[in-house]
Amino acid sequence: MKKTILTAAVLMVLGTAMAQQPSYENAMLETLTMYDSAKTTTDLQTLASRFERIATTETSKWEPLYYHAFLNINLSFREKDGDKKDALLDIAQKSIDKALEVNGDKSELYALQGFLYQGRIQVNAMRGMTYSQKASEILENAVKENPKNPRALFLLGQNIYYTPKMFGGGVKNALPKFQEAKALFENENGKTGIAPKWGAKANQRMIDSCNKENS
Amino acid sequence: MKNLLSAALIIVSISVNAQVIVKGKITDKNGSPLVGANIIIKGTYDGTITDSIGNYSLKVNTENSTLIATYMGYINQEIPVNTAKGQTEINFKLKESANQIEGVVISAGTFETADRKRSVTLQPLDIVTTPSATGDIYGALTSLPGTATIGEDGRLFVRGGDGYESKTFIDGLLSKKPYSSNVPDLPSRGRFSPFLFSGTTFSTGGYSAEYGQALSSALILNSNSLPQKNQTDISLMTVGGGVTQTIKSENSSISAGVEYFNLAPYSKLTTQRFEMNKYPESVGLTLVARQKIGDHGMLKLFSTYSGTEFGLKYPDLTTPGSMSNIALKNKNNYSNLSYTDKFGKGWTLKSGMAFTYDKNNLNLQAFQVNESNKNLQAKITLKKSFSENASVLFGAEETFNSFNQDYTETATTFSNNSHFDDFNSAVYAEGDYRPIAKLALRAGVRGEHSSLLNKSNVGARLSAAVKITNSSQISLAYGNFYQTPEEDLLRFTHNLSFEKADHYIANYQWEKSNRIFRIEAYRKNYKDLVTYNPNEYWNGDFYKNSGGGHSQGIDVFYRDRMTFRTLEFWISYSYVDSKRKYRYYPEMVTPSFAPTHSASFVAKKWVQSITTQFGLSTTFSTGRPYNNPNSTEFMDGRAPFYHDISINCSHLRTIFGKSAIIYASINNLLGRDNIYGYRYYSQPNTDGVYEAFPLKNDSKRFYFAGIFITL
Repeated sequence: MKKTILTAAVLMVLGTAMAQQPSYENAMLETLTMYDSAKTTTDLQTLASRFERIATTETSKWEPLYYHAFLNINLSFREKDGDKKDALLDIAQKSIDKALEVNGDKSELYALQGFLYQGRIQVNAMRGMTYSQKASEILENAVKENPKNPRALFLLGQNIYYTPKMFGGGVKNALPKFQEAKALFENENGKTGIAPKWGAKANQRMIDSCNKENS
Repeated sequence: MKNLLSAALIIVSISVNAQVIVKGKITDKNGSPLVGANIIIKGTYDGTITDSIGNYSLKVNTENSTLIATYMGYINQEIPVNTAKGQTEINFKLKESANQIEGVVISAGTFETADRKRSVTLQPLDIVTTPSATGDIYGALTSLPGTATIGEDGRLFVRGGDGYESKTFIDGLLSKKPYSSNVPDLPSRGRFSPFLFSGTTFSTGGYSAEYGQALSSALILNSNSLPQKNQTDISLMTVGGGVTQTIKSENSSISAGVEYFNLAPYSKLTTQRFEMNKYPESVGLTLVARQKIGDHGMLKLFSTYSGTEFGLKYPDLTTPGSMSNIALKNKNNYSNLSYTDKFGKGWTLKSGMAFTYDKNNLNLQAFQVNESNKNLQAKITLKKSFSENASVLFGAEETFNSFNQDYTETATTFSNNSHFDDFNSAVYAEGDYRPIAKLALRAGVRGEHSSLLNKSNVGARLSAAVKITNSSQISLAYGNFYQTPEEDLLRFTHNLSFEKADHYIANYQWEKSNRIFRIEAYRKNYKDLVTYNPNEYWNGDFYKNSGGGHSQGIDVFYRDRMTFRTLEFWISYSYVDSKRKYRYYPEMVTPSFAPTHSASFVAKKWVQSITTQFGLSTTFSTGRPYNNPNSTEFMDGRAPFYHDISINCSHLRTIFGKSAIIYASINNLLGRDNIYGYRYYSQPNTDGVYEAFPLKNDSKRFYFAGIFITL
């Protein structure tokens, strides 16, 4: 009995100690694990606020800012009201800007910036003229920074996919990008760590819809 | 063993005791809950967010714990947890940060286009895709309310004011000659490409004390910051072409461009009203340099040169039925050097110098006018922000204006030279205060002295805005504005004083989800406008500040970028009642540049499948007054109404892997024969009747096409 109490007490002490000081990596990993099972808008908001908290404390780290922006962009796609979409993208933009200031991964951040521009077009297609060009420029830069970044290639493919055929867009021109991205996504399989890893599923969906249109 | 156990228990109890449950509410200043606000335990990754009624509950380790509450658009607030154990309540009241979207902005008289205010913006692309604008900044502004389309002139005429009453400022500094030189009936255009600017503030009245010497309106253009990347821009148009090369490094950039326009090929293919002796031809050079200095400093240089030449046959106003040759040569240089920086404790510096050199040689067969104008302005403004809600700015400005005109009559060899120099010194101060987020106040004062007139003036500027609902606000503005008489009036005497206008403006604005509606009522009182005797215009004794008048009206504007997903449009309507006695007017009448009703509609539709944007714009205005010397009443003629429909399309595509825009437009699609008024011969014919010829565009329709490639 005494032994049990003792063990329990020691465990509690250890537990409290550990709960007080999770490492940066662990905090990030924990939050990222939660992202895998996040479904609702509230889930995403909760996660975004967790990343914001980490970013507030870890002022020299780019990853929490990256995910904070990423989640807000995703939230903007779920939002219907144009003003609110823009407000969410404004939040995301601030985080991307800050992440670049602390010398975050340029290729990943440029890719995310391209994603954000695609979100701006969602508000009003009239913006397509400005933003689809902006998106393709920054995504090409993302690929230039790191030709092995599958997210840059996937988003670039997506930009091409939605550009009409006669202007170098369409399924035919987009598919090679998605396939290139797929191979690179496979390299990321099984990798751990807090570096960005999202996109494989969405990329596969784009490949599927390309194949459907081709057949 | 027992000791160990108790030691462990003590540790446990300490760590348990050290935990406090903090509960509370996060609200804004008025106590409205903020939903989804973030609470962070400072220095850790822990925290929580508020629920749907702004409440939160959090376990906190109290050893030096501090909570930070954050919410988008609000200033972060930190509160330490003072309780050592148990439960405590900490409520946050967050202050709105003033620059957030919902904050109230003084909107009376102003069409501002900061990035955030997306709805009212006329950004470069908006300007070039507005069909009636033909790529001209001023052309695009005439689709906003408060402006009149004066097709034979091309300058900005704002709220019943003359063209000279509007001034253009680039990065805060005067651009003395922003319009190209013109001869009668060929409208002038803006000298500067809309792509040089990222922000535009168009004020139709009641503007800041930072700007002076304009009775009616200030157009404030902010040039671009550092470009994104190295690039080459090539344009090929039916009327000319150009190349610009931009080179960028991390903290600096330089771009140089050359343009060449020649209307000969176009004019030969279409029918012109008057025979051209020399088709309009111009060469332009542009240099833009940027250098970042330190963390916040930015040095900008902008310099342009242009040389223009053209000539045409125009009715000789002295002899009915005969034509005379008009030839014009113009050389213009504009250079603008500005430096802005931010220092600690909320200090901002804006400083710069702008230089205009303009030389016009006008040959009218019967006489020649050689005119040159030098204008140098230096300006420094310091701004101090005490908080996000209070700031004050003050500054000084010195403008040297030198005018020289030689007039020679060919037949009589009579000649006259007018030359004068004027130093205009100005000081100004202005304070902005926002006692609560819903209310903004601004008060300013500006004093000026002209060495030439040897007169001084002091004017006040007051404005306020109050938010009445989340999406609507009311603004009011008042101001006294002074302007030195135009150069033409100072040729024969300097014994004049400033012309004056007082503005009263009330504005209601509603803005929501990319839709904006605004309605503005105004009254302008003119005083001390210069009058002279037209029969003895060379006699300085007749020049007096004895004119005056008023202008009052209503401007309505609605812009919608939301209702239709691939269509945006805006509608403007202006009503103006303007009367004045000035220049050669013998009595108080409605001037020729103030049509009573004007309306315009601009719509743009994007078609994704062919990456093309189509534009349509249409303008309507009631007939403008003109003076018929055959009538006993002064200015009782009324021209027919004006109507124009213009269309364009901009097609985006890649050419050899490079992005390109292919653009085409037709102005006055229906070919309506718009008559702006009539010009009369100065001598009656044999029947004693003054003969007239109509004022209208050189050609009915204007076609334009171009390709713009970015390498």
